[in-house]
Amino acid sequence: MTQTQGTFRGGLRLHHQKELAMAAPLDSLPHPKCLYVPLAGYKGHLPNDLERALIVKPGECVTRGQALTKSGLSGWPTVHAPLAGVVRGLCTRISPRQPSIPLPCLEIEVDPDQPVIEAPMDEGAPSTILIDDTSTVLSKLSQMGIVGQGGAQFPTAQKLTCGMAKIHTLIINGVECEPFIACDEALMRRRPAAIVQGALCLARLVGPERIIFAFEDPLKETLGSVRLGFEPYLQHTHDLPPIECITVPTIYPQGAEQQLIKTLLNLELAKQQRPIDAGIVVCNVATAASVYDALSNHQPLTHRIVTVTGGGIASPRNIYAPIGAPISALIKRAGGLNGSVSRLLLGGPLSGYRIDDSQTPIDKGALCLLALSSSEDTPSDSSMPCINCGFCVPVCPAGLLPQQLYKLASHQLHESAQALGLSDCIECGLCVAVCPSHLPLVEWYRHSKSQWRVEIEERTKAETAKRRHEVRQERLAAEDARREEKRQRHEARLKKRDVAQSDVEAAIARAQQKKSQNP
Amino acid sequence: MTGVIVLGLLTFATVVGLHWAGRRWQSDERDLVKKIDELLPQTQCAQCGYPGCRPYAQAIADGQADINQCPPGGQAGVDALAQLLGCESKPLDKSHGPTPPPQVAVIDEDRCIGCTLCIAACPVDAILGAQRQMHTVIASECTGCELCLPPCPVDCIDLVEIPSTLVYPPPQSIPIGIQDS
Repeated sequence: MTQTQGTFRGGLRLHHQKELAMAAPLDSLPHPKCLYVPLAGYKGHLPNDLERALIVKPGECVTRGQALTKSGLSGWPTVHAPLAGVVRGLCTRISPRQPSIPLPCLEIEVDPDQPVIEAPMDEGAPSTILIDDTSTVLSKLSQMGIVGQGGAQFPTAQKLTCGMAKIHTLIINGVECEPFIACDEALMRRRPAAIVQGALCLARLVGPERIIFAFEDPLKETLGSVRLGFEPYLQHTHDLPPIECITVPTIYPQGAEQQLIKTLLNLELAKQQRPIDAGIVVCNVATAASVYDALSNHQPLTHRIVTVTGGGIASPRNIYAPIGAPISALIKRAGGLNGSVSRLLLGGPLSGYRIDDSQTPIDKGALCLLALSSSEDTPSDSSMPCINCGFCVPVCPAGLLPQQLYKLASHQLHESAQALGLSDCIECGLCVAVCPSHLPLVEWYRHSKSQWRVEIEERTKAETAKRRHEVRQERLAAEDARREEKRQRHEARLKKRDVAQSDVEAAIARAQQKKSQNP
Repeated sequence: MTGVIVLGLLTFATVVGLHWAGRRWQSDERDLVKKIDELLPQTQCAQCGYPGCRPYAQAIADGQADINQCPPGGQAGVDALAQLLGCESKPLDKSHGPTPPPQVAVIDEDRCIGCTLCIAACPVDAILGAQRQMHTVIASECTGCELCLPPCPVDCIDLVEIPSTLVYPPPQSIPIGIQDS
C-alpha cells in the first residue's frame, strides 16, 4: 500500500465524527406505509413525456424489483419498484436539491406482509464475471437503473461511454471525506468482495492500464482498517492490471473527483474538462457494488445505505433503505429527533441541502440525513455583512475568490460571476465553514448558477426567434418583390396597344367558344 | 526654419491620419441599433407599436421611441436599455400592456378549421399547417407573442404559461446592511 505525498490546493482537515453512526451496526428499514419513488434523473432531468415513459398503471400490483419505466430512454436509466406493493399513481414531492420545482414521484403502497430486506452480505469469494459484449453489458447497466451513488446520480453506462479519449485509469473512490457521512464506510466493511468484483467488471468494460482503490488515512483504532477487509480479494485480477491501494490524507473535499485525481495522479483538469476526457473514470464504491449486483445477481438498484446521524438524532446509525422511503421513516428508525435540532440536511454538514418537508423521499444519491443540534450548528439568522477578511480564499479547493463571487451573485450579476469562474465551484461549503460573518455563500452560488442557466436558455431562445423572424422577413420581401415584378411585366405588356387589343380579342374568342360548347 | 517645416509636416500628417481613422472606424449607427436589438426579448410581439424588435430598436436609436415601451422585456429590460444609452431609467409604460409570463401558444386541434390566418400572423413561422388541414404550434419556436390570437375566427388558440424554470431560490435573509438588535 502506498501513501500519496502531495495533495490538492485548499481544503481543511475537519473533525471526522463518523464514529457517531459507525457505533451502531448496519440496520435495515421496516416497511414504510408508502414509497415515493423519484422519477427524475441526473440534475432533475425528466423524459419528454413522463406519462408515456411509465409502464405501470395506478392500481396495478408490482413485485419487488419490477421495472416501472421504459428502458432505453437516453440518459435516463430505468426506475424499479424497491418493494412489492400497489401503484397509487404519480405525485410530487419537494426535492431539497431543486426546491423550486416539484419532483415527480411514483407513489407505491407497500405490501406490509413481505419480509424486510436486509443489506446483502458477501458470502465467501464472489464469482468472477467475464464480459464478452460491452454494449450488451452497458445497456444492462442502464436497464438495472445503475447511477453514480456518490451524490450526482449520473447514469453509469453513459459515464463510461461519453468520453472520446482512451481510458487509462479507473479510480474506485472510497474516500468519504465529509464529516458525519459513513454510508460508504459501512458498505466497504460489509461487502468488500462485491466492491472488488464490481470494480473488475468496470475495468473489463473500459480496459484501463491502472486500477486504483483510494481510501482515507486509517484512523479507526476500534474498528480496524477498512483495507484489511479488501486484501483477500485484491490478488485475483486475472487478465487485468493489479489493483493498487492508495491511502490519501483526510482533507475535505478529498473525495471530490477533481481533487482526488489531483492527489492520486498529480494531474489538474482544465477548466470544464471532465475526467473522462482526460482518460480517467472515477467511480464510487457503492456504484461498483451495485454494478456487481446487477451483472451477477440481475438485481436492479433499489436500495442504498443512508447514514442517519447528527447531534439531533437519538441513536445515529447507517440504515439500508429502499429508494423512495420518506425521510421521516428513516429518522423514526434512528430513534427520532431529540428536540435540540436546528437544521435538517440531506448530505453532509458542508455540502448538504436543507430539508423542509419530512415526506421528502430518499433518492439514489442520498448519502446522509443529518440533524444538526443547535450546539453543532451556527444559527442561520446571525449573518453579518462581508468584511473582506479573505479567510475563504485559501481554503477554496477550486482556487476561486468566494467573497467576490458572493458579492456578484447576491447583486444578481451572474455573467460577471461566471467570468470569475463560478462554474468551477464544486459547492463544497468550505467557504461557509470558515466565514466569520456566517454568510450563506453556497446558497448564493447555487442560486446564481441556476439563474445563469436560465439566462443562457433565454438568450438562445431570443437568438433563435430573431433569426427566424429575419428569415421570415426576407422571405416576405422576396415574395413581394416577385409579385411586384410580375405586375410590372403585365402592365408593360398591356401598355403596348396592339398587344392589349389582341389580348382582348383572344379573350372574347375564348368566351364565345366556351359558350358554344355548353349552351 | 527647419523646425517650423518639421512641425508643420507633423501636424499635417497627424490631421490626415486622424481624419482617415475617423472615417475608417466611424461609430456606425447600425452598431447602436444592433446593441439595442440584442437587449430586446425578440418576442416580435409588436406591443411597442412597431412591427418587430428591430424596428423598435431603430426607433429608439433615432430618438423617436421611448425606452419603456416593451412589456415582455419588463422593468429589467428598461433598466438595461437605460444603462446602454446612458440615460435615466423610467418605469415601464403600462399603456403598452402588462408584462406577460413566459408562455407558449397551443392550438386546440379539435376546433381548428385550417384557415391559415394564424400562420400568416406568426412572426417566427412557429405554426405548421395548410388549407383545411389541422394546424399546430412548434412549441420550442413559439415566443408567446399573442399575435395569432386576434386573426383566429374560431378562437381555438390558447396561451399556456411555461412552468417556471429550474432556479434555486436565493437565501431568505439578505445579510447586507446593519441589522437592528
